[in-house]
Amino acid sequence: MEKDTLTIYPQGDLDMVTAKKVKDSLDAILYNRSGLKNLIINLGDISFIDSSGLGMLIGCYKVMHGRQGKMMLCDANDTVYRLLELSGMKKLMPVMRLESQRTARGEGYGKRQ
Amino acid sequence: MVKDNSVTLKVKSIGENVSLVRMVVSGFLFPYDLTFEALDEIKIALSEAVSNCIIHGYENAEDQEVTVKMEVKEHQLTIQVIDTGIGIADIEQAMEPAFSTREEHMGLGFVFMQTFMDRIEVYSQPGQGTTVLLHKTLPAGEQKIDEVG
Repeated sequence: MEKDTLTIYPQGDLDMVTAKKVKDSLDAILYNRSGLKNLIINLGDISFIDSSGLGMLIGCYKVMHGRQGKMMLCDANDTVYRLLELSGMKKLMPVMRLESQRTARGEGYGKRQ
Repeated sequence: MVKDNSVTLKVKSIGENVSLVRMVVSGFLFPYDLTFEALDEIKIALSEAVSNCIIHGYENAEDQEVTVKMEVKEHQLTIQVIDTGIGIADIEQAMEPAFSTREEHMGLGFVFMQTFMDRIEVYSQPGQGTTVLLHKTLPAGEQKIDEVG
């Protein structure tokens, strides 16, 4: 039986180029797995996101919503989490932040480019 | 006292150059003792401005050029982002939250620029291209050599 939950772990920066790559791969998976009902995007390895990346996440939400599925975002770092708040994404779906960052500031956060 | 500095970049209008411009601004601002959050905010604003040039100004045409001028003068950062694309007919409307000419975009570009910079200026006319100025006051602290690296 087909699993109904998929977790993906995109890495690096989510901008106009990389967001499109993630969306294209995800669209292909979603097309082939009509039984998929829950999409979890783990943002733990995303160091940067802009409105193109947020647009991609909204696009995924629309697809999941369209098939009566659910979507969740987790492990967002401080900056990413703030953008998810600012963009109203938190009103649409559950968003979890990376817990360790509140206490271990500077550890593993903000890889300076 | 960190010296004033300026850098001008001319990049081809391809999406891959948005991350290149972010890397350059990170390097350019490295001596100015910014927090990670402050640097991230500038990178987001700049990413939005350059993406706008490519997606909207040039309508994704990849054979055009985007100019990015970064300058720090007496702790005042000014970044000019210039395209010679289609321009904006109604700047006020373009800057409204959630306004977008394209369905797949969220209309947050200018919102993020305004949120993360102290002040922005937009100059544009249809057919004449667009110039966006991003302004931010940098911390005035001395550079601490032992904290670098």
